[in-house]
Amino acid sequence: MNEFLKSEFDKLKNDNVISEEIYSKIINYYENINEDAAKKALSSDVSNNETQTEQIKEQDCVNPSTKQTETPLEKPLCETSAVKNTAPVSPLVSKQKKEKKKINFQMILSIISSLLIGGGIISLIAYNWNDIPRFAKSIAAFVICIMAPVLYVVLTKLRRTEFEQKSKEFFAILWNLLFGGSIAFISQTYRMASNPVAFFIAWLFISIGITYALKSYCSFCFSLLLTVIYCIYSQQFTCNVAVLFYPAMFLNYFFARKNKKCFYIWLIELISLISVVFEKCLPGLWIIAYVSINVLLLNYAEKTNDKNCRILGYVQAFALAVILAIPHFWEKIGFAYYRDNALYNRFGGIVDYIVTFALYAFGVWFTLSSVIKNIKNKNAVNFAKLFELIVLAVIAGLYFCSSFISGFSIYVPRIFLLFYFALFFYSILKDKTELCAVSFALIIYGIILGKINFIFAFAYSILLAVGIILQKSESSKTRKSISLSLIYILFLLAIICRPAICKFIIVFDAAKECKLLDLIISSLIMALETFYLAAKNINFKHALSLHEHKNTGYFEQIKICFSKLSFYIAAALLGATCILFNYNSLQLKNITDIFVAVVAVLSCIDFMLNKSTHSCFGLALFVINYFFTLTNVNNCIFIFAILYLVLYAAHYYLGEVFQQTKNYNYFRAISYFAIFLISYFIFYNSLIKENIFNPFISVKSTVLFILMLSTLFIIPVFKQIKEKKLNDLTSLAVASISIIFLVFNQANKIFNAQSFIFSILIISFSISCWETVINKKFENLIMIAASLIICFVELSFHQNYLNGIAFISMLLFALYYYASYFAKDKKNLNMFINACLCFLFFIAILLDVSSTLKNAEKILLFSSANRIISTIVILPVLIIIPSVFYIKNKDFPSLTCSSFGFVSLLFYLLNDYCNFFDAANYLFVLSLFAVISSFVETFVFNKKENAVVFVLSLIEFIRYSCHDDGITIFLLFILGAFALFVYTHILSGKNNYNFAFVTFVMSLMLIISMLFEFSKHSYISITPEDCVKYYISVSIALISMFIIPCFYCIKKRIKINYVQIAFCLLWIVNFILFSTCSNLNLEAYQRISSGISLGLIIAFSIFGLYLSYEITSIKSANYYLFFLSIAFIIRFFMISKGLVERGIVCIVCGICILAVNMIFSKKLAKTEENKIEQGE
Amino acid sequence: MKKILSSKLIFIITLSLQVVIFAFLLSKNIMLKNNAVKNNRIYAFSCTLYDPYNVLKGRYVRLENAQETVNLKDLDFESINKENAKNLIKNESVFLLIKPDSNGIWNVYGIRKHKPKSGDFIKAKFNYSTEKSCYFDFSINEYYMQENFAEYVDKTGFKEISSMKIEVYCDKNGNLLQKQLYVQNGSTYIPIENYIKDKLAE
Repeated sequence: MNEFLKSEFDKLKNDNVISEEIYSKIINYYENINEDAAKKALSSDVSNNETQTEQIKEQDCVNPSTKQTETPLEKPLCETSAVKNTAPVSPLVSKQKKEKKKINFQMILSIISSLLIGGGIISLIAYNWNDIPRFAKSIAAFVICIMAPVLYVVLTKLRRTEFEQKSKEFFAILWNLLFGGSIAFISQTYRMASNPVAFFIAWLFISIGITYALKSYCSFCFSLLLTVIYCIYSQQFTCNVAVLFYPAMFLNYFFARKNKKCFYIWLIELISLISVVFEKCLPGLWIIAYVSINVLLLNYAEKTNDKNCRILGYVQAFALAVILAIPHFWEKIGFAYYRDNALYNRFGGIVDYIVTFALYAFGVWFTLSSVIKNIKNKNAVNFAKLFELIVLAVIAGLYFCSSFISGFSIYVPRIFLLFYFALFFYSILKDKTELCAVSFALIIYGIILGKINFIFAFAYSILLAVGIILQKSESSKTRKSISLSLIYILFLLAIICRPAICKFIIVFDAAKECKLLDLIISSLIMALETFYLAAKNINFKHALSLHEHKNTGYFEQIKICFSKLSFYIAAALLGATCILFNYNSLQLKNITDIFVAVVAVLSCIDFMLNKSTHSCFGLALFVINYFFTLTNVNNCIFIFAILYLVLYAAHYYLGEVFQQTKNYNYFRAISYFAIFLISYFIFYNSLIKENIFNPFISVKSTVLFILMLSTLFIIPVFKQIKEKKLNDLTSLAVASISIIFLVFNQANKIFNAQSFIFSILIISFSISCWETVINKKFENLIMIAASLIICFVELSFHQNYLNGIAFISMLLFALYYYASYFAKDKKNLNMFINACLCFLFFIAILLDVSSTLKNAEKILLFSSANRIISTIVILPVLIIIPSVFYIKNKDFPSLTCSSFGFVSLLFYLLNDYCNFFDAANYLFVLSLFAVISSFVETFVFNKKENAVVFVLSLIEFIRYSCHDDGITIFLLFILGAFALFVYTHILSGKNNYNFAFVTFVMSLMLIISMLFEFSKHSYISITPEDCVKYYISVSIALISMFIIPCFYCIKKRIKINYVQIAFCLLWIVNFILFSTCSNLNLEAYQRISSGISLGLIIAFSIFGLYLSYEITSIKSANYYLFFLSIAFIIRFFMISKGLVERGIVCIVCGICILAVNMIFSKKLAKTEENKIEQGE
Repeated sequence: MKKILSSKLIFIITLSLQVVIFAFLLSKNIMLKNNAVKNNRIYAFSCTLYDPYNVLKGRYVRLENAQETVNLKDLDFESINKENAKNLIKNESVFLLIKPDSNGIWNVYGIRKHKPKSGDFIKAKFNYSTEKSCYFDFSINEYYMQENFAEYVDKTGFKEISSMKIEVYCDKNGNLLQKQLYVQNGSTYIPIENYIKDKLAE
């Protein structure tokens, strides 16, 4: 019995809550139950579904209140665990979970092994095709055909019990594959004419049979796959009717409904394939069918309350509506375009009519019955149901109309938009977020789609968007977001309405099509929408109640109402201007200007009254718009420069005037983001035009503007000087520079975009550093990083990749230093930074090996002077200051990192002048530094987590001595993983092998090595000049990878030391062979090397298997087997061996996987049995 | 118990169904072959190789039958005027009337939409047409070869193999079954497998 429970009962007994008699009775009762449960667990086959359900039933009989697979013992345990988390979990449940996991894993393996064996048999037969007589081939085909089922029956008889699910899956897949194979085999033997459709039909129905016979999920999926192939092949390639699709899906349904996942797959396939299998005699019939399916799906989701089905329904509704809003799909459809030729099968057409009619009728019936039921029960009629009915009716109506009225298609999107609007309106009323989102997405799409009236769409979209956000804001009860939503939308509007951007948006092309009908509709909708939202939001009673409860003054109420009212004024203005625009041919720009100006004024008032942070955007908008009106330019730099200035002003006023210090950093971050965008746009534009910085701005026209800006900045400057505060010097300096550049850029070419950014960057960087180091405001670290990143973006553009990577390395290093210096716990940081550096090495190598990049010219965007300036800025911050601190604190690993930063900088600077400072050498030195630093961290400071970085950097380092054979790299990575394994073992000081981790690393490495194997790309070749480098790396690798582990193994006398030593020795032999032969250019080496490599992989895998067997880890054993198989298969397929060899390899691998799994399963079962016995 | 019975029943039905399918396929071919031999419907068409590999099926050799392209001027009056050969629809099944030339190679001379009551004909699918010719798809345009043989064909780039013919069995409905692919070796035709075997042995 469980100890926890027993102690609880003991307590109860001691406290005299229960008598001793009751106590002993309870104890006996639970012990009996526990014994029964253990016996059941032993005897029953957990994987068998039927047995599982029986267990549940039995347990339910004992405790009918629970419907889980819990014993009565578990029930109180679970309840107690809710109170006390420390309560233990039942061993039976955990065992079942483990079994389930094991089954899934083994199921996959059994599938793989069956595929391998099947593939191997096919390969063997294919190779000896001509030598096998036809009669023998026929017999073989027949044997193959019935092999799997007969084998299954015979083995079941021999075992006298049903197979487990995983074995059933194996047999099902084997049966499926062998049946298809045997049919193909016999057709090939007799050289039959190809008839793929008949072949797929036969295979499909046999597959369905297998699904039911063996209750196999794999076979079910396979039959679904065959259905897809059959339909596509039959309908699209051979123009036959895929009429058997319906019975096949019908048969599959009964299996699919047993499992939810299967049911969803089945459903998705059914929906997707309907359009494929339609005979298309009557074009466009799919529209009605799909809409009906959608209605049925939504009905089903509602009835069963199935969330996934509902999501699927909404997704389908969205997809359908998007498709149906495109006029093209409504062209040439209906009875007028009936296809009556030999290509289309009339019988197939009849099936289509029946199916479509049935779907439509069912759709109407289910919806109608629900509505009628509601009316009968005197419940409120569901609007969504009515909507579905309307959709069905309208779709059918549209379809029939399209058949007879030509040119009808242009009206369809509008009608659809109206429907979406209705849906949207409904969802707002009912506060249904999902529907709301779907309909809004549809509306936006409908608008962008074009072919609809601009004004209508424009007004419509804005109002609806605002409505949605308003609705959301009301629900979240944040008043600020009202003005925020308004301002955001208007800001977007101001940007979109710029003529330069307008021409890229399709919707504006359709402006000419504006008609009176559209205007009436749009006005009506706008009026309705405004009325509804106004009625919902301007709630004076609410304001009054606020006054009563919270003693809010009347002024406050007015303010609240005003912020809400501003939206309606703006909306009304928009509507009016839109209509005016249509009749008086006003320019779009003017309307936007008026509109934006009004809203900006409103938001300014809002800002002043409510101190609303978000209203600052309104200010920004106003200033930008004013500037546009003055200059008529669309230069990105100006937009962002001014945005920055205004944001800064808002930031200042918020911080200083309104004392809202919370948003201080927030605004600052936005300002820097703006700068980042400026830099991006400038460089982007510089590619298109050389002289982009030409805003045609005259000094006279900007006087007012400059005055305004000056007012915004002069006051803060004076205040700063007065109070001797230097914190915001950066921002002020940037602001001043911005003004200078804005005013003087035309007169002097020095004031160009580049120098503008550079000056901003230098100022921001230095002041951020100042704030961080002197004032110890460490939050400014992020500003340093941001400045550096911007700088990097500029530098890396058109630069060679070495510089880019070197720069990122330095940035990472800087972050590492600054953050780690002030952080208490450096552990995670070290790991992160080191991992990043290692990742960088790999990236660098990948970039370096790419031949295109190698041959690319080094384009230097910056002059040497700029480089030196940037270095002068970077050097002390990144290298000197940290180094001084490191030496002071005797932090030697960090000093290594500091040197690492220095090397990066050195290479970066000297790259132009000397060939030695190329990518390869840079990476070599870098990896050396990484090896040293991680080694020191790992072994000197005993930070074992750095072992990962150490091994990775080591692999990277010794990769210089590799040739371009993928298998060697594979081997190297395996060895790396091996070393890692040993090191983790050493460092952990425990006897448990961290197999999962090692195998994970191995699998990653395997993928990389395979990529190299396939690319066959020669990236590093050893020349006599590289020999020194090569021997250094080899010796370090040997020492660290093998000699240390070997000594360790010998010293600790662990069981497997001889295997390890043998393994290491072999590798050393291979290494020596390689080094001598490759330097002497011996061709024979290739054979020897490949043989040894393969031998080593086998040795390593066997070693792994042995270890796995020792600890009975079925997972790690399979990993090793899997790697071995892949290595073998790749090897045999890459060196153009015949099918015999490949076949044998496949079969051997398959059998190996199967056999090892069986052995391990048996061992595992035995150990578990022993454990349970011991426990008893 | 019911469930076990039903799954057993389905198992037996599936197994027997697959045996039936297998037997049907086998017997269909044997019957087609016997029918063709009995009625002396073994035809030979000239062809060329053009692709030695099929991703799904393996080492198939793709054949381009000379008679898959038919000149309109070679067709009879009925094919052009009555059957409207030029305006057939893609993938439409048609019957091609054939006659032998002096070398024993059969050529198409007529197209019929409905099965002819007598004479020599084969079934094919219409592909497309130009002003001068019609193009058809035969169901015998892939010929399986052992991997190393097909590899040889691929390596030689089809240069060595100049003239080829394929013999087919044809039943009374015009359905075809490949008999053998031949390569011209001097004045005689020999099976392609023998030809490549000899070449590989050299």
